[in-house]
Amino acid sequence: MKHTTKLLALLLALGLLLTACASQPEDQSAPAADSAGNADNTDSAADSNSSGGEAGEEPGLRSFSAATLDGGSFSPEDIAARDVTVINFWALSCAPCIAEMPDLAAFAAALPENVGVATVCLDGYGDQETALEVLEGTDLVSTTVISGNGDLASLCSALVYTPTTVLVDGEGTLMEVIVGGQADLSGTYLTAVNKVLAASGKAEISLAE
Amino acid sequence: MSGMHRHRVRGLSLQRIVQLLSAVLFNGYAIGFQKGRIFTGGSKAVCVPVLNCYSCPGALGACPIGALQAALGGMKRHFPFYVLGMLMLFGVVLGRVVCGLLCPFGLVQDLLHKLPFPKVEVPRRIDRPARYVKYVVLLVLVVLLPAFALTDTGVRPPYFCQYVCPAGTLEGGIPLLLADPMLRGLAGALFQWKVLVLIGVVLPSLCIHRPFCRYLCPLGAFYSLFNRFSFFQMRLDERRCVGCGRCERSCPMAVEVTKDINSPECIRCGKCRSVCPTGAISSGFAVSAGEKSANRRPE
Amino acid sequence: MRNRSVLLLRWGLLGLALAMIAAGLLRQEHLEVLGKAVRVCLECIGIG
Repeated sequence: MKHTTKLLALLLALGLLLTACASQPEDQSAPAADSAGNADNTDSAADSNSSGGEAGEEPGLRSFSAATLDGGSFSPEDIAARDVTVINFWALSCAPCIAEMPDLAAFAAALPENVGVATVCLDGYGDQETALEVLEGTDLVSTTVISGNGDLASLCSALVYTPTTVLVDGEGTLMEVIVGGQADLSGTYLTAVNKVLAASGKAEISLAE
Repeated sequence: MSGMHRHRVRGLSLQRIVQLLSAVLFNGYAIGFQKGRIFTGGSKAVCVPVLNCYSCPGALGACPIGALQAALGGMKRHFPFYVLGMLMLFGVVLGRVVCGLLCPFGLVQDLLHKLPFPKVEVPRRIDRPARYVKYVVLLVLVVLLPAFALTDTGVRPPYFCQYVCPAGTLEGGIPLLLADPMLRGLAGALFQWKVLVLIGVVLPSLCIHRPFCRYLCPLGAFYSLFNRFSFFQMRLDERRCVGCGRCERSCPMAVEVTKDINSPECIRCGKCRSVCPTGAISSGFAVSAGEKSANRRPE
Repeated sequence: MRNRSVLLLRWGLLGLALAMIAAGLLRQEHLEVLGKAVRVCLECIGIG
C-alpha cells in the first residue's frame, strides 16, 4: 500500500504544481475563436467580438506595430495602402504551413497593386535563420512579421489553428478567415479577396498569368 | 497478510482512483472543451509521461510521442535530448506503471472492457507475435519517418499523430470538432481514416483487454524496454506462491505472472497483487542493492 | 552479480536521463516543444 500512497502523493503534488501554472492561461481573446466558428470557414464581419478590445467595433487590425524578418516594419499604413491585405499566420513547427509557402508566394506574385500579402511567423522571433530558410526563393521575406504588438498580437493569441489566413480591408477590418492548408490556395484565396473587394464596393481582380 | 483484496473506496479501486485523478490532472483545462481552444500556458513545455494529445482542449502538458516527432521532423532536425531525456526518466523510474495507473487512454480501454460484452482470449500464436507490432510502430512511425522521410519541403509531419494515434482523435480531434462547427467543414478523408482507427481500437476493447497497449502503443513499447530494471518493480515472493493461477487469470496483459512478473508486457496495474490469496505479489521502488530481483530463489 | 549490473544500469540511466534533459534545456528544446504544443496544426492531428 505504501508505494501507491507515494504515487498518489506524487500525483497530488504534481497536480498542485500544474494547476498553479494553469491558473494563468494566455487566451485573453477567446472571442475571435468564437467568430472563427461560424457556419462555413469564413468569418462574418458582423460579429461584435473584438480582438482590439473596443466594445461594439468590428474586429480588426487598426492599432499595432510590427517588425519583419528583414528588419523592416509592418504597420497600419501598409494595410491602408491596399484595398485588401491577405495575412497568413504560420509557424515553423507547422509542416503543412511550410508546404504551402510556394503556393502562397506564387499567389502573392500574381496579385495586382491594390491587394497585398503579408505573413506572420508565430514562432519566428529568435529563429530568424530558419524562417529565412523556409522563405528562400520567395518575395515574402520583407512582408513576414516576426514580432508585433497591439491588435496584431491580440489576433495572434486568438488564433487556435495553423495555418490561418485572415483578410482585412483598407481600414483593417477583419473580413474573412480561412483555416487550414488549402488544396487550391490561389483559387480559394482569390475568391475570398474578391468577396472582400465586393463588400468594399471595389472591382474584382484576377490573377496575372 | 492473507486474503488481500483490492482496496476500494466507494467501489472504486485505488488503481481506478489514480487513473481518474491522473486523467483530470493531465487534462485539467476544462474550459478549453467549451471554447474549442487549447491551453497555451507554460506547462506545455513539459512532457507528460502518458500518451495525451497536446491538441486536447484540456491538455496541460505536451505529449512526449508528439514532441518526439516534432523534434525529429522539424526544419531544424536535431537529436531530441530534452524529449528523449524525459522519456528515459519516466521509463527508468516508473516503467510501464505509467500505462497501468496514469494513462487516460488506458483508462478508456479499461472502462470499455468493463461493459458487458463477451470476452475473448486472443490465441497465443496470434497474441505473442502481435506484441511486436508496437515496436515497429515506434521505430517506423515515430522515429524513422519523421526523421528521414523525403518530402519536398524539408519538414516531415508527425506520421504517428497524423495517421494513427487514436488518443489524438478521441482527445483532440473529436472535442475540437464538437466545439467548433467551422472545423467540421475541413475534416476530410484523413479524419475519416482516423475515426476508423479509433473504432478499430474501441470495438476490440470491448472483448479484449487493452488491445492498443498490447499491440500498437509506441509509448508503451518504449517504456516496456525499461520494465526489467526500472526503479519501480513488481515482486513475486516464491515462498508464498501456491500456484493457484489467479494472478495470471486476472492479468489484462496476459502476463505469465509466476514466471516473469516484470515482463515488458506488464503494465503494473496491480490486479495480480489484489487477487493473490497469499500476498505473494508486491510492488514498490527498489533503490538499494539488497532488493532481490524478481523470481530469484531465496538463498 | 546480476544485481549489481541492474543497479548500475538503473542509476546510470537515471543520470543519463537527467543529463539529457539538462542538455535539452540548455539548447532551448523545451521551447520548441512548447511552440508545437500551443498551436493546433490541423493536418498533424488528422483533420484537414
